[in-house]
Amino acid sequence: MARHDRTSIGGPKGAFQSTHWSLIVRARTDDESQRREVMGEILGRYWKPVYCYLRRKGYNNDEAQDLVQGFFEEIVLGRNLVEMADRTKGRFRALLLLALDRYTTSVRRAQTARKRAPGSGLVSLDASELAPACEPYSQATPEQAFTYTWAAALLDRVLADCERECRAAGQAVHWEVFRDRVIGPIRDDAEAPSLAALCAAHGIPNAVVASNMIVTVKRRFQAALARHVRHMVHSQAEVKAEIQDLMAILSGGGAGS
Amino acid sequence: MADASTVGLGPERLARLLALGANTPGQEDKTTADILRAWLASPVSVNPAEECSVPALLHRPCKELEPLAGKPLSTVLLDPAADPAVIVTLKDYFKAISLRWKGGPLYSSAVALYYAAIAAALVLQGCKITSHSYYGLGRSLATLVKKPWLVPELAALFAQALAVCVARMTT
Repeated sequence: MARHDRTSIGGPKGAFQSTHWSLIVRARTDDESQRREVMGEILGRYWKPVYCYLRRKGYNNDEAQDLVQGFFEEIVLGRNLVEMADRTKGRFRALLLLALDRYTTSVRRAQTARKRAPGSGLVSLDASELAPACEPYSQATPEQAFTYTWAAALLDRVLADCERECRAAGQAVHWEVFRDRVIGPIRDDAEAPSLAALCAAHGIPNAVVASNMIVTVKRRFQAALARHVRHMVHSQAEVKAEIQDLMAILSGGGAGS
Repeated sequence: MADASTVGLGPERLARLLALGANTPGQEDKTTADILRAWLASPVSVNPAEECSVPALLHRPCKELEPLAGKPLSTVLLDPAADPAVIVTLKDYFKAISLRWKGGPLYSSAVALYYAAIAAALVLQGCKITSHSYYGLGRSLATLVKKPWLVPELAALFAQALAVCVARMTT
């Protein structure tokens, strides 16, 4: 199946300050160019976990991409999700998973894959890089794959923002020290390089300065995470709970909702 | 950015990455412990041209530290044969470091090392290098000993120093 435009899937550029709900409401417009732009923004944030969920449900790459498009067009941007939110006041992640589960159930019952509506203005996806990345979740339940990918996509956006902010502030070395000492060892499950080695590699005078750099970037990371999670909850008060809920799910190996 | 995406990482590693942003007390404790271990393992910086070096922060040459260049801090602090002047200098240095931050892991670890210098002098050299009373010093050490981020070698040193303080208070 031919794919048309590529969408730039990555973190938000900061132009959208409102929560996801306002974003979704903005997408429900007759202005095609605005609809396409907002749809791209929504898909960019949320399509990866939906895609991984669908792959774990047994859909192949093309089917999963079509279903992602259909789900966002019909359910996320339709009235259903907003109405569900009004009723439940639940977290967006949980709501999305519930709606997705109901959507795939209805698709199975219909026994046909939903197709992209021709000329609908939807943005095409390119899952060529994501498909192999979902392979480690081949033993996970669909709900687990959804949550793991949700958390990973969130972390990717946070890390991208953090790096961009550091470089913009003239703290490129700060970022690299934080990446090498903190992020890399976790991501690669490897031993962290010593502060002395990092000082030598990056031309940093001593361990005290390096420690200060790491703490500075960690604060940026925390702020960026809170900012991104704020988009997914109803209020600032729920940010911490959402992060802890995600951590509990990931630590327990469960799927959560 | 050439960094790899985190999509595909297992849940345990994702949780650890997410925990960095959670700013929970446990996470801050871990950061404090990491910084403490890193400082103890690192050489004392004696180059006055370096940012945050001992001479730079104390605004004096610190000649007494020059023979120790390249030695890890833990070796210097826990050496019974160390020059008392060196331990005093390190005490002053970490006090100066702690004054640069208002709280958080860097402040906590600098305070711990400030007391480590005082405790080392008391236990290993029999010298009291602080104007704190034995009572006040004992209270501070008793508080630090209970910190979850305190590394074992300092915990042992503080416990010994606390015993010395108690003994001196009762004599």
